[in-house]
Amino acid sequence: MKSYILKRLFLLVPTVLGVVTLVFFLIHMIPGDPVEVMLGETAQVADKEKLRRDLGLDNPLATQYADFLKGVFTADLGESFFYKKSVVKIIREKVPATLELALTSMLVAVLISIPIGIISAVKKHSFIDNSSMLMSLMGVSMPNFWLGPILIIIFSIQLGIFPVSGRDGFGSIVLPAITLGTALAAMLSRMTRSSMLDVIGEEYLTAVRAKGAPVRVVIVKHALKNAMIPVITIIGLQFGSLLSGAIITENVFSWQGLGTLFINSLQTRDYPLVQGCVLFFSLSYVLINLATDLVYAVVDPRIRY
Amino acid sequence: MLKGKLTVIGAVIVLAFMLVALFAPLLAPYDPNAIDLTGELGRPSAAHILGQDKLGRDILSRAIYGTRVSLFVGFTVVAISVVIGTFIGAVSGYKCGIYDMVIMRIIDVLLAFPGILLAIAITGVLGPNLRNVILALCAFGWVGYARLVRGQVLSIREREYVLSAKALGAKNLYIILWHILPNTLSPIIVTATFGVAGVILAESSLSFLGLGPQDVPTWGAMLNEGSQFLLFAPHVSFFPGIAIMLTILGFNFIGDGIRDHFDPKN
Repeated sequence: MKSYILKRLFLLVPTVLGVVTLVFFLIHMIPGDPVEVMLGETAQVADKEKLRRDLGLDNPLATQYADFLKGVFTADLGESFFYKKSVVKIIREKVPATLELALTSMLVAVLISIPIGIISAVKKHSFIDNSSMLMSLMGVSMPNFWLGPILIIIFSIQLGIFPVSGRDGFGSIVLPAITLGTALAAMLSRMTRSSMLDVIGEEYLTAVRAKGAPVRVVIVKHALKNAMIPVITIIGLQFGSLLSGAIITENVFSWQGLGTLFINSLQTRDYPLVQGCVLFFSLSYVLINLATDLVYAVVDPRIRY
Repeated sequence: MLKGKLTVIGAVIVLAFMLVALFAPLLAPYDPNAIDLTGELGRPSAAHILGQDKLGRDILSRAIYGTRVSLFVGFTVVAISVVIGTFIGAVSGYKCGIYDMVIMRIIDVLLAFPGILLAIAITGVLGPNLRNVILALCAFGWVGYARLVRGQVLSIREREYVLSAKALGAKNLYIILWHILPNTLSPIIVTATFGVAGVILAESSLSFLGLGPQDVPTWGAMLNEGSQFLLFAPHVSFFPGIAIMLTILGFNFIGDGIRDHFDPKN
């Protein structure tokens, strides 16, 4: 187990270095002169030179890369030329909003999907099972930039229950969380169902049933515990995806988090901020996935590395 | 039983959309870019079945032409990704050693970018047009196929029929092409079917964010334009959304059906 953890931590180094390198080259992919793209062709030569200096684009590529690497490890990703503030500081200000949305969406998805998955497995091929399977397929297929507006039309415009957009109190998070959590709920309910079906067919449950335990005890006490291991792994792995899924949902609901910041920075061609956002999203994703893998290895005693 | 029906429904949906894309000029009642300012945000009527957008353009005609972009991007990206991913994965799994290690690290790095983040960043940086959308989606699209094929090749390369071919003096390329790859086809087909749905969703997301093709109507961009008028004209967003959902649903139904068909448990 110890060697597995060490191996995973060791493998993290090239992955992180690769992510950082790719993010560094993002700004060098801009066709033509990046400074001209950012400031426009009509910008003054002096302004262009100043920006080139500020971004370090007048240095050789190797020096730029070394500076960028140093910046990543010292949490100094330069200054946003739109906000005139440190990139790290801006990102830090927006993280709580995105985290709040991702966590609430996760909660919504878990609360909806796990009971549905269990019922579907216990009542296999029943009307409930078939309808939930159909609903989950629809949930996976529904783009969140469409579901969001539909929810706004029904619950904000027609019924007036929740605000249309913004981040102001509990009511404002309900629709964004449902929008972001629907696809995950659909995936988790199918996962819970198939995992429960696998467990229900195992011999130890037949033994429990043979002892005369009531169905509720068999399912809740014995089956659920083991069936939940892969589901929990998926929940962990999907949390990183929720962070990136938030990019679109935040834009639909004008939720002032990292996703909205990322798209705004692309629109204003604020590339230091674009780099910062991509780096934050991908490094969080890597670390969350690593943590999930490690927790999975510790939690499931059947796994030997 | 239900799954079988859903596969047929999925096939019918996808076939219908393919026909719509193919015969778009014949089916569209109006020029999708024809502006009619007198019909701004017009509600569905006999003349305009799905209504009109903010410039009075016919939503049905634009949705019909939007089918072309979505399906073209979906099939093109998946085809390119399958070819690149299969080649890299097959060579990586067959050769092993340092080549495999380097490829796997590159794959790890690309998998470290969640969802369509990289595609958003690439199209945002390179500029919003059809070519860049395809490029951005292919940039990480091949990764899943490479990993899948590599895994399959690793398990197949030690099988007796492969060892026999080697013993008979067959060249590596011949063995990969004729003995190994045909046996990895079923998981590739399943993944590619779901992949088309994923790519269509990704393209629509990019278009929704204003990062898709600008010169042709796309479902995502139509939805984005409509989202500004939810209060007065919800129909502008509603119909393109239905089109996206139906297409994705169709491919997901087919993918589920094919997966079940190839699943040895069934």
